[in-house]
Amino acid sequence: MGKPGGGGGSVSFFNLSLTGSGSAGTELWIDLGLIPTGNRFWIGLANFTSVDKVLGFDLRTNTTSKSTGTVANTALLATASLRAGTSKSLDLYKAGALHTETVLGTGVEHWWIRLYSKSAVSGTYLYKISYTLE
Amino acid sequence: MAEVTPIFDKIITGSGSLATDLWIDLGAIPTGKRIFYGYATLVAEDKACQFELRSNLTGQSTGTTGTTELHDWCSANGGDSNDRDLYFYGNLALLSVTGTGTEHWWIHIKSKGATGVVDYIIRYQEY
Repeated sequence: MGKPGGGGGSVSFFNLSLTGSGSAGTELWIDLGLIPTGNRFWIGLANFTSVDKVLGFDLRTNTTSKSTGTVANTALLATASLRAGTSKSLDLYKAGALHTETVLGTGVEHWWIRLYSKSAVSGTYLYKISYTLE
Repeated sequence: MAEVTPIFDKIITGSGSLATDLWIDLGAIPTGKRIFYGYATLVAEDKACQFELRSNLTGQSTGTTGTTELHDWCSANGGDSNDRDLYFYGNLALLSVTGTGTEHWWIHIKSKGATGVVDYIIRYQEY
């Protein structure tokens, strides 16, 4: 399978990115969008920040033919828990040793970030996902 | 154009709760195969926990320190997670015993005090 962006000179494998921010209570599902039919999203790096409370972050993909953001309808791709005021960068490629990708799109599947917390108090989060379309 | 072959193509995920001690059975090691550990993320949702990745010794099947071998360990504070690189660009080779139909692989978690929740995701291959 070819590396995206392969070729001579400076190469960015994961040439697309998604960023976002907001606030979360005890649980929040962030819809990262529809997985295009016949394609997968191949994920390189995920950056998560929790500004002011403990937050868990799951990166998830719908399983085939599912479209809603629930644990039962998705598969876990990566996870992290962050204490207040911290960030984590998850290397989901590891120089080719890992191949972290969504399900193959059939026109209905989405990919998601699930945020969860023990505290209902609103907390601020930020994320950036670097990826490519395969 | 270069080719990429993902090495650790299998994922196991789950969660559990514990007070002071928990053994999570990750399943039987397939006969004739070994578990080759790649990467692990271990989450302690709400209290400090110590995580151990272990596999049974040959001919053993239970989750105890006397019947398993320790491959890796780490600690995470409450609300934190720990990412473990168990491959290190090919410089490490953490392997279970070769399965004979009996042996399992495990996460052993220890903590103090009240009940807490843990989560895990492990990338591996059957070698």
